[in-house]
Amino acid sequence: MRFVKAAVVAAGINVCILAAAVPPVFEASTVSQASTVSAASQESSARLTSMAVAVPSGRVIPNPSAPGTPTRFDVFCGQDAKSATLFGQSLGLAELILMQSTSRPGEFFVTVTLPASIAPGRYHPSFDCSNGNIGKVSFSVNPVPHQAPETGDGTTATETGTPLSSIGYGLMGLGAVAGVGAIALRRRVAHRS
Amino acid sequence: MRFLRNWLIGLSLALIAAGALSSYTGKQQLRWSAPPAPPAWEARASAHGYVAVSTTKPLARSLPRLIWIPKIKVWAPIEARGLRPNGTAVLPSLNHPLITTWFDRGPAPGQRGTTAIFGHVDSHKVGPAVFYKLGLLRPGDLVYITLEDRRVAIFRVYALAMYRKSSFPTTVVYRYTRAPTLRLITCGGRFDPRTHHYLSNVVAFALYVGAKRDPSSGLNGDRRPASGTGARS
Repeated sequence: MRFVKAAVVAAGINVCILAAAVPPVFEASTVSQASTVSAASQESSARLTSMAVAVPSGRVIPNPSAPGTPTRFDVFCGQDAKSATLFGQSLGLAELILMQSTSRPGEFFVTVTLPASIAPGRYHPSFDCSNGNIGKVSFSVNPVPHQAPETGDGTTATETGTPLSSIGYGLMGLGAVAGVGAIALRRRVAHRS
Repeated sequence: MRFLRNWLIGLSLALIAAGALSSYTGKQQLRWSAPPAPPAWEARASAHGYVAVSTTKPLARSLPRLIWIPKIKVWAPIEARGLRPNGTAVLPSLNHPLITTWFDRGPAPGQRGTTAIFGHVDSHKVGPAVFYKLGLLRPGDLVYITLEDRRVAIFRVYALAMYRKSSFPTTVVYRYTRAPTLRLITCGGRFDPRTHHYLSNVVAFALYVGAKRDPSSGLNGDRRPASGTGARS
């Protein structure tokens, strides 16, 4: 009985500790709000909505992203974390990217521009927190067309010609020969008389 | 002898006149005027990363079916297409130059992000094709896209650019935007008769500004807007 009592007390203490460790609840409505406001306020309202349960955790905005797109990584390391680092090597970026802290304790973010050459697919870059937590954020990169499109065959830009022009030049040449012949004939007649 | 001389003079004059007429008639000429290009200042505005900001709530994904651009009298169906194995966008066939294609691996019109729609500038089938006059668009012109769910997404052009294909800025044109935006893309600039390709692309940048219900939108192409006169003008 004493053992059962001790177990119950220990479980209660654990629950209290876990409850204290849970970060402040992020506004669940921010995502839908963000869709109606300007880009500037979207940036500031990009809060972590689903990170209240798991520590550490993170999200990526936008998701899916695209090559060449500025992409924001938000992570929550736990309230005792002082700094966080994103591992960018899998994205073709610097190996260690120091994240900036937000106004909320334990929350960090960084905005990077994905390389234009990044392959489409699913990515899971890791992040490292100063309190020893290590996590991953998952997001997708959508494909974009690689090259300039070929949309036209030049029909309206191509000069069109007919055989008439070369026939015309031929006729003019023949006319010149006939003219020279007529002049020569006239001289011959004048010479005889 | 005099007769022969006069005959030769007459023949000479007649041949020269006929030749001049014939060469004038058959002179190399453009059957159509070359596609219009956007002004240079527009190209600069776009190239420097003009940022579109919209306060309009984005739409849910719905496939685009028709595009209507009153300014250049374009009214054309849209077909969904993806990527070729070499990473280039699948484009409309030159045998069907009056349709457009939507890059379906990206957002649909009205969704957050960049929607890309391609159309030919010209084709041997018809001469001027669906986006022949794209270069005439100017900031403020409206583009209407009818969606499968019978809504019409409305976009306003905010910039126009012409990029050389050799240095086409895919990240500027296709990158994700927080606001729902649209890119209308075709060919333009000088034509290289050796490679049979245009040397540049014309890109119209447009921002989503709202949507409306259009129960009489004619999704199957059986009814066109009153002010539209077709894909060609």
